Amino acid sequence: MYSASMIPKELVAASAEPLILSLLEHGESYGYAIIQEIRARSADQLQWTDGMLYPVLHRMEDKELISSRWGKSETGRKRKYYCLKQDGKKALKQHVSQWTLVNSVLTGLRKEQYV
Amino acid sequence: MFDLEQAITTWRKQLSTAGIKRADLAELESHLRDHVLEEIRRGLTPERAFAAAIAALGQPKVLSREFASATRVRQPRELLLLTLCALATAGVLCLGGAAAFFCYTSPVDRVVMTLAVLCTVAVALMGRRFARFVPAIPGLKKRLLAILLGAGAFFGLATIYCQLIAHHLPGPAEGFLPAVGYFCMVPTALGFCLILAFEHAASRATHAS
Repeated sequence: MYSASMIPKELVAASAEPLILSLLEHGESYGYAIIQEIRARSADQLQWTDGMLYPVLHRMEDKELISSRWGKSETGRKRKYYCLKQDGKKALKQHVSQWTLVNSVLTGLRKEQYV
Repeated sequence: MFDLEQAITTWRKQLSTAGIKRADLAELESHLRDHVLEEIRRGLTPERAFAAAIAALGQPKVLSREFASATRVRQPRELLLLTLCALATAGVLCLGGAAAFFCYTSPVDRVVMTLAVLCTVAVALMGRRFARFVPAIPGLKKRLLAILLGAGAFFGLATIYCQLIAHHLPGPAEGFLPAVGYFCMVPTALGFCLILAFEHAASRATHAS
């Protein structure tokens, strides 16, 4: 069922918010660019269904973690840009400390197995 | 011959029939066009580029279900509180306006009344924004206690104003009826706004964790 490189959808869903928040920390961005950036950074292994990103973004906007504005693309078309809000920065800090904890427990347990 | 604009219009209609809102459609179309351009740049024909882009976006039915689940549904309790807030604020406005213009004639009194009305309206309008300054109290009982204390403080302030300060201000004392109504309404309106703010702060805290 799973190939070694396939990330299960539960993990994809759980990591979506922290990944979007950290990406927006670099500056405002829009849906398509966010998907491309995540795909490129994960060497194509973290693949979101494109359409699912928008409900996630809207939920985060509702929680006041991010805000949005309609702007123009390079070709002059309408495009919706998202940027990080103060509460988003706080939520990102929380996410990072939680993921770091999980990571350190996992690493610690793996090390012990080889001692 | 494949017409990209025509294909996008048909796709928009499909999504619209599936129940996706206009603003969401505009955002999805912007995404679709970005993706199509990218694929064409990579060497695909417009027809294939379009097919790849809509496949990546997902089925209209699935999309509309996901979008619907993202729309915030107001809880019945929040709706009730919002209605009570609006009613109490409307009461304050009517009574405050009547009191300021029919009963109290001194300029000082009018200024105080207008300020009180403006404060109430401001708090009512900014209930949600106000939430960030209110501590998140998770337990319903503790939250109720905090709200009672807050509303009590407002009643106290209103009493001080009516009993101690209002008497000494120049102007006739005929404004008794609106003043009593006002005396009850302002703390009620502020109390409801406070409850709303507390509820919102608590729900934000639950969301964040």
